[in-house]
Amino acid sequence: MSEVPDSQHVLDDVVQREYQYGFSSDIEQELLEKGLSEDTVRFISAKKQEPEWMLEWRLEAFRTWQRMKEPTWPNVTYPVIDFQDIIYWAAPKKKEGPASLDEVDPELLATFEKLGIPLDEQKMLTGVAVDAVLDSVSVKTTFQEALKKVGVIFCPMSEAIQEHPDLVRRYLGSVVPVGDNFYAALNSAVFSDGSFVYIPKGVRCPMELSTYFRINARNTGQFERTLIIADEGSYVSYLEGCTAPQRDENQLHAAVVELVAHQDAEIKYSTVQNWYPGDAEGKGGIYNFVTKRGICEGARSKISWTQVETGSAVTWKYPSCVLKGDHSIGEFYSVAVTNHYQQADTGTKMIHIGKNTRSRIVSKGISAGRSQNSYRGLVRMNATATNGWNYSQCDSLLIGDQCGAHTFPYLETANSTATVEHEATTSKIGEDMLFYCNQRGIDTEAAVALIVNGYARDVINQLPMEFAVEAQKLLAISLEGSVG
Amino acid sequence: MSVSAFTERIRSLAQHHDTAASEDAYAALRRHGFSAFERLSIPTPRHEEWKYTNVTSIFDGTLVIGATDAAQRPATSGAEITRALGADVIVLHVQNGRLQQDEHSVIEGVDLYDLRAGATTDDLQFLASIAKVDDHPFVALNTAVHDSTVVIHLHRNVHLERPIHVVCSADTTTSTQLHAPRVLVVAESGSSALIVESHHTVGEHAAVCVPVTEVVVQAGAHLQHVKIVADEGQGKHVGYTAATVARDATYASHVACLAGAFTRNDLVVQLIEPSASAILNGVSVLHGSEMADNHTVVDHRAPHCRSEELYKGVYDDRSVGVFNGKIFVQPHAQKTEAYQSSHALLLSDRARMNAKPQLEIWADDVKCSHGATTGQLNEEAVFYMQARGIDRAAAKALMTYAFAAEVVERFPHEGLRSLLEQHIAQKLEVSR
Repeated sequence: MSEVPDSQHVLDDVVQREYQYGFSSDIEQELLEKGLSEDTVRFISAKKQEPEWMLEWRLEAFRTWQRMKEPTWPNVTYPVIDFQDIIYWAAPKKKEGPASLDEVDPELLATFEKLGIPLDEQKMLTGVAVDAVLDSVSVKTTFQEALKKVGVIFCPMSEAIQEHPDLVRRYLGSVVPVGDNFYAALNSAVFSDGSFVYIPKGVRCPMELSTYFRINARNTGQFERTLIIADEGSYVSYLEGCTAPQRDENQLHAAVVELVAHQDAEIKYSTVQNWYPGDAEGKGGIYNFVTKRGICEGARSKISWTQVETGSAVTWKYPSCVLKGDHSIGEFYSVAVTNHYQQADTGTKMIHIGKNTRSRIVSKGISAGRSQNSYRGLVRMNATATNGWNYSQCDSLLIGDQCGAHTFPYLETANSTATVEHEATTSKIGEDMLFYCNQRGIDTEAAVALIVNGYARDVINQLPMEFAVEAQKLLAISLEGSVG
Repeated sequence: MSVSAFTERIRSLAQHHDTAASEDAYAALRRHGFSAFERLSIPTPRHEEWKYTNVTSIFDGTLVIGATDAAQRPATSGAEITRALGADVIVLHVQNGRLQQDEHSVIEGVDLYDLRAGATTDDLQFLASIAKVDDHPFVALNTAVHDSTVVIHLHRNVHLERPIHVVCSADTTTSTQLHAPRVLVVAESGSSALIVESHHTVGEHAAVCVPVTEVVVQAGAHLQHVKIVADEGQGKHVGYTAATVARDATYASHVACLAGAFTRNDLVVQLIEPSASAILNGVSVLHGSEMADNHTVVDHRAPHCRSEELYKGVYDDRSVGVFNGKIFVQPHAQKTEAYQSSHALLLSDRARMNAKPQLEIWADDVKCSHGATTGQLNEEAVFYMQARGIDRAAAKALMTYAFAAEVVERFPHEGLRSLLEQHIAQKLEVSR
């Protein structure tokens, strides 16, 4: 009988494993000098040939940001960020608007190919339309024509500002106001691109929409802005993926995502976040400070957030639902994995305003190495939330004795007919479970992957099929065998 | 009416103390308290620990600080608890922060005395060793203004059969009061006892009580500690209790908030040696515009320790409940078992409950869980009773009572349990 690899050996193996997407591409790029001022904001706005109202909006955000202080309450530590030491604009050099794929820089195509995101429509899995964003700009949005036929608008944010100004003006900043928080204000001032989605009344979006974010340039920050509007009775499923090259310095990613679901509409938003997490010594990696919020504006609307978080050196994000419409539903499913020196402070907010609103939170934290993993969540039942219902479950799995798991749930109830239930557990992968698997011929490495995948199954099951497969692989890569 | 006026009063009191200061250890401690309070000040709701409870409104410049020598009236609610504890109860009256007994008494192996400036006993070493002056604004305030410390010292292997009742009260007939009772309990190894602490006010003027109780539970000792806040008067309560529990010892805390316009309890239990255990029970039954905020911390600092916590509350009218329960499992505190649950029942649409259960874990071989719920009675259970001929109102009253009584059942002492159950039943009756 072959010997089962001992856990320390397996752990070492994982520590030495390299980040799969750590390569950087040699693409000719146009970079703005480091630094942030009103001129930077004006430059970005001019670069995108934005109308006057958009510039005004950005400048107001910038002035608001200048008056704000960086938050210190999250349970994470990192050196002070010098906002003047960041490049706010980095774009691949290109000829005037590539109309077809042939005009896109082949190096760029190769980059996305390497990431497993072919931008050639023929090569793609049918049923997924992709908006590929490299550093500050959108490179290519696929299947735009096919979507146009059913009235769905799926385009880069900069294009939406030009072509659908009424929609953008009406909804931009309506869910996450400019002054919402420090990083949202910063994003509002300097955001460069992102995706814009509008699903008209009664339309069920025929394919999955997806945006792939890639940071490539050195010293840059990525600030993208996503806005999704689902009009009455519509449905859309949206996927987000992200990676970055392996570099020694930390890079900032501060995005804002806004979702609006009107009456009877449903938005399903899935994220597989795999930013470069830094090396085994905690050097480098992305600071992921993201504001995501959706509003269930109309009756019987539904917003569902699913996230698999494996990357980033520091994560700070709380995808939230404001349940305003009566009978609206909010959901949050999350798996957050931290290894080495990663830190994650993530969770959700469910604000119940309408009657008979329901929300469900399932959060699975997995910490290994010397990482710190925190769940922070708010469930608020306003006095108006008659018969509101919430169920939260947050479990932590600890692998090794040098990591930490933390839960900070806030449960605020101001309505006697509302029900709030919260459960949390902390445990480790039991020796007995591993032994059971070993005994049946499953080696330790595979057994851990099996147990972790089982543990995260409630969340993985919520992902669209292609993503679920990717997420399962990611979990295995991040953790397999790292049993102490 | 402002915090700054209050802080100014404390400052002038500190200057007064400074001029009268001696080199005494007690004076030094008080000075430490003053400087810490100066730095920490009265917290605002912007402070995470005080997010749901605004204490700034209860401290103002009109509060009279320090004990008065006027004849004090005893609180009837205190006498009721004393009676419930039976004929052999040992009663310690602490009025406006000072123990009403001058001599050092020794009863069945237990030292009971008032530790004051100038005293030189071994118990001085424990003072402010568990409740950290620099960490908490109200420990600092108590340390700064308190007059003396009530010491209950159980000697080695003493099993005290008689319950001890510490009655803390303030008489506000002539003026408002800020009173700062301070209690130190030392349970030497192998000892056991039941200590009941209750807080009351008599008189028409407002009173603010900022008590600090420190408990040292040494190896193998078993201490039951009951705290009752049942203030029908004008008293407001901002209390702090801290305990350390050594090897194989048990500390059981039982907190009942059955009346009081403003109650805040901080309870910090540290399990410092292997196989120590802690039990935390708490019950609040409130109506009108009463408020009770329970903040608990169970800090597992050693392996093989166990803690179990159950807090429940019933809130009617415009009453507000707050629960924050932290469990810390420090690195190397392997094989920890820590369980916590908190449940709240809202009987009115204007009542509110804010809960924040919190786990912070740095060790991997542990079993920890918490559960928190806020909601209503189970409709099916109510229906079950209705189907058996119990009318709806009675069925609900019965279930509400049973909900709260589940915690009281875990309290020690038969007489005390029936008194508390009676109180809860009466209060729910009034609420209906």
